Amino acid sequence: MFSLTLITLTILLYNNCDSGFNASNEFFSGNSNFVSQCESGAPQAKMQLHRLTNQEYIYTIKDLFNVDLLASNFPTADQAGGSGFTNEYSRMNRDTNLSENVTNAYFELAITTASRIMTQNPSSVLGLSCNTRSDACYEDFLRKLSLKVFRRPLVEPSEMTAFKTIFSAYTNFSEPAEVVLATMLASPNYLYKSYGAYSAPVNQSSGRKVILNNYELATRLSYLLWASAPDDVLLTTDLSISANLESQIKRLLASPKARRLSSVFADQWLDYSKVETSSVPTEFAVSAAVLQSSKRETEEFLNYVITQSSRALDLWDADYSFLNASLATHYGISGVTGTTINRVPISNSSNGSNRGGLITHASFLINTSGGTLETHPVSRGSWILNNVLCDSVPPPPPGVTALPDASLASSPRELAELHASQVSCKACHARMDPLGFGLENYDASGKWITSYNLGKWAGRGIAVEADGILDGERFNGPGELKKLVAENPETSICMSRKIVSYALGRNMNSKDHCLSEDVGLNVISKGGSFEAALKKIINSPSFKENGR
Amino acid sequence: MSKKNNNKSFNRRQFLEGSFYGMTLKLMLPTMVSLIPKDLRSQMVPNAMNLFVMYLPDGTYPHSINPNGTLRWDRTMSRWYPAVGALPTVLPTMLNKLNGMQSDFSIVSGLQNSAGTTCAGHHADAIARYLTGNSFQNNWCTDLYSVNDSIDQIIGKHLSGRTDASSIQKFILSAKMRNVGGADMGTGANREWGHNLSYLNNKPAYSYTNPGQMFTDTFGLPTDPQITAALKKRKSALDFLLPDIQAKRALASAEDRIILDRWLTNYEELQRTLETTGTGPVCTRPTAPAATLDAAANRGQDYNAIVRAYMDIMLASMECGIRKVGILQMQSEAADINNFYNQIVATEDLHSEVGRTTRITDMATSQHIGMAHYGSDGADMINYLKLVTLNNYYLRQYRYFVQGLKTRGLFNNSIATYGYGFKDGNHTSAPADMPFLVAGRGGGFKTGQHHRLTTLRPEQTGYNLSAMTPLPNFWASVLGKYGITYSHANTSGNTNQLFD
Repeated sequence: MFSLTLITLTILLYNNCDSGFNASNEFFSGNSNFVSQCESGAPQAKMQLHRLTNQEYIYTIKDLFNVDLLASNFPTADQAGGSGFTNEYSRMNRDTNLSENVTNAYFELAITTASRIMTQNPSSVLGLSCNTRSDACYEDFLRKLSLKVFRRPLVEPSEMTAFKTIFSAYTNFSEPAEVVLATMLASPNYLYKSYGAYSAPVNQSSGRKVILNNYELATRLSYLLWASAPDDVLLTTDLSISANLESQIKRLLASPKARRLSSVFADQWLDYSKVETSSVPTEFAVSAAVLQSSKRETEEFLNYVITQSSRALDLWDADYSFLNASLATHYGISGVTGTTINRVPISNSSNGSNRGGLITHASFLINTSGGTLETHPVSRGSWILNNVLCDSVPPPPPGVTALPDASLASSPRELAELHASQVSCKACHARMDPLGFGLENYDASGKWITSYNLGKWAGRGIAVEADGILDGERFNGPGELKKLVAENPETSICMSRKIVSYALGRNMNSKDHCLSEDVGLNVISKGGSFEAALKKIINSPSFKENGR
Repeated sequence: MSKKNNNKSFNRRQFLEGSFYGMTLKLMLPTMVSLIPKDLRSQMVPNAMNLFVMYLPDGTYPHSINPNGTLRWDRTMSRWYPAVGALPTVLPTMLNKLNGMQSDFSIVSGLQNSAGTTCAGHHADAIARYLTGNSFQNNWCTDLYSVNDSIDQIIGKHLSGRTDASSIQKFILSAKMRNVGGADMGTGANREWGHNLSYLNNKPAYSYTNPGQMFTDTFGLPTDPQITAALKKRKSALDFLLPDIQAKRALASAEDRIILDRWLTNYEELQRTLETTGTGPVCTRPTAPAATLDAAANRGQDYNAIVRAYMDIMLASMECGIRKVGILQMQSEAADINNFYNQIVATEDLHSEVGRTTRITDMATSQHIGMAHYGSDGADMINYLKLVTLNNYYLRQYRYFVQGLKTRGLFNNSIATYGYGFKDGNHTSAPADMPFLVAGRGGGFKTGQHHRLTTLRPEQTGYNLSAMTPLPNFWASVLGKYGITYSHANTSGNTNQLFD
């Protein structure tokens, strides 16, 4: 009985790891249901009201009123959903069971936020209109404030009449103006992004759907590119004209606020920023400045790839990076001076360091080393499978917690192979380890090494072996690895999936998978830019419509 | 769609008690909490049981009424205590001010509170032992002051997580009625020590002596226009939000209506809470006591109004979850002249109960020694009437407090005790078989009973202390409800059998 169970488990594990890369392949290779979903008549996913994340709330208040809020001001912490992003609306579905504690906290947050805005930057509110106690001023004020906070015009006469009642309860202008602001901030009209939630649906053979109006499309676009509310220009541009939409995407990406695509979207995906506070063994002599610089390197690099580079796949294989003197020294690259992080061209031959592309950044290399002296090819390989190729790796089977005793092997490669030779481990490690081996020239602090000089392998003259295999193709060293990664269509599809998930704010349905395959294979894989990928997604029905 | 729960106090506690995702709880200051001054919010402990201790000085005066309508003095507590078991429909004469609320309280008899040391005197020992369980040693004996921390201070430590007096004080409302016009028994430090219920670190703990200070410390400054403005702001916001959400709900999909319904329901509840502010049993800042009471307290006047002010503040504080412990000492032990007596006599009508046609009016110069130690049965009917008048007055105040717990929805999470440091104030001054009442169902206390914690009959108790249950055992059970383990040299267990 026990043997049978063990065999079954082993087969299952093996199958889990041996099913080939990427579930999305199934859709194009014989899954007829999926193929039909990709046809144009398939229904759009239904989206419920979509609550602002704490981060979006913070950015919104910052952009509209130049007042800073803190994450600790919120009743609940942002949490990622199945897509890996905190803006996923399926997580927000918990709002069907919102407690009084949470709603009351949002109410109080609105009250205190309005108060802070009126104290710290009253002109951002009172400057919207004339401030005399007259109908003309009230109406002008309410229309302009609604456009900012509700991201749409005031509904007249109902909302106008109700808000004017607040003014009548006071004897000046500023007090009721603050109350109106607090009321708007406490309203679901502000707290939830509405993508056709209050519009009449259109019946189609494929189901009922709504087409986002101009304000809703502006909102969706703005929260995608800025993680914040649309500005007046965006709200007042006719986005149904494709040239207008295209120019607005360009404008938004050119704004400093588009850096949030790096700090929010990319960080939630790639989890790089934690390197700043990571613990690196003292033997590596990595200073806090290097850790800060390594975070900045990745942040600047991502911002460049997302908003400026003509090739999205630079993310994995670039001939440049963003360095200052301390980080360049850490990498063994000469000729970089100063503390400012700047874009630096890097060829694969420069100082033999093979930098360029995120998996050569110290941020990634340190974050996947767990604060140890030894490298972790398994962790690095697993990370690449999960985040670059969107291939899931199951956790180790029960009872397998560590590598075998190092004394049984003569090198880290041999030790890993010994571990992978166990039946229960073989299938997964056969895919993870060879990817990690390709990065063995980077020690646990991200420095370039050719032999092991720290930790359990130190002093034995063991040379680094950095050959590996990806999807049946052999490579040697990080330079070849990152090239293979970038050329792999699964990499493009995976990147597209991440963008689509974040852009739509949901864990993708089959129709969304169609879109991500399309963008991945026809834009990113063909050397297209991140901006081009975004444009294709934004122009898709998945973005502009909503099922009902 | 909306919650149909009109018990506002309960709802308020519900939302105070919510868990805020770890921390985050601290951020989640509910609306009504925000109406409490910021520096007081951190003191809120809504989950804890409320404890009220009403302490009466000088022992009681057992009596009954003869069939011919005359008063009869009883040497034992037999007239205080009905039969063990369910309380009778008609309570004994001495408890008749509590008739009609038999299901709200229990008599707990057979308690003793002797620590074996009496060198400080009966009165001083009685009050010092009441909440500490042991006597203090004072300069009559060894010049050393040593006493356990009183149970209110122990609860304060527990709730605050601190050991310093100022932190503990923020969880306790302790007040004592001032004796003005005559000296307390004893002199110097001995006088101070002999007239306190609460002790911390071998020192008497702070007690309020005027209601204005208690109110300010509990609810902030008496007039705070910000509170009014804050309420108005919130009400205005909700006046817009509720109909607006209703309107949007009509347009939304079935799935979105569920979300909007949650907001609507919760905001409606919030609006109901705000709308009843100041008019119902909700947790809002109560009306401040009249400023004239503070001056009166200093002059020893307006006794009744001051007692009620203390009680009202304590009740509101418990309702708001700000301070959960209230200690009210109704008078100093063994004061030479208790000039409040004359103030309360007008509120009592004992004279008619015993066939007199005129009220007792000459209590202004009365004092414990002269009134209480009147000798043998019926030797001085006038003095005796005065003492019975006090008994009835105290019980009526206790009734007021217990009724307050009920009307504010606090009854099931509260314990309110009524007791003396010893029994018969006339002859024995024995810390045994003391009159002790407990109201409220906090911690599952069993009300409606006479629980007798000794096998002795009342007339057998005398100084037979070992056959009775130490009062600290009862406090051990009460403290257990706060999660505090309580034992010392004068405890022998607990009285958990009195609780479910």
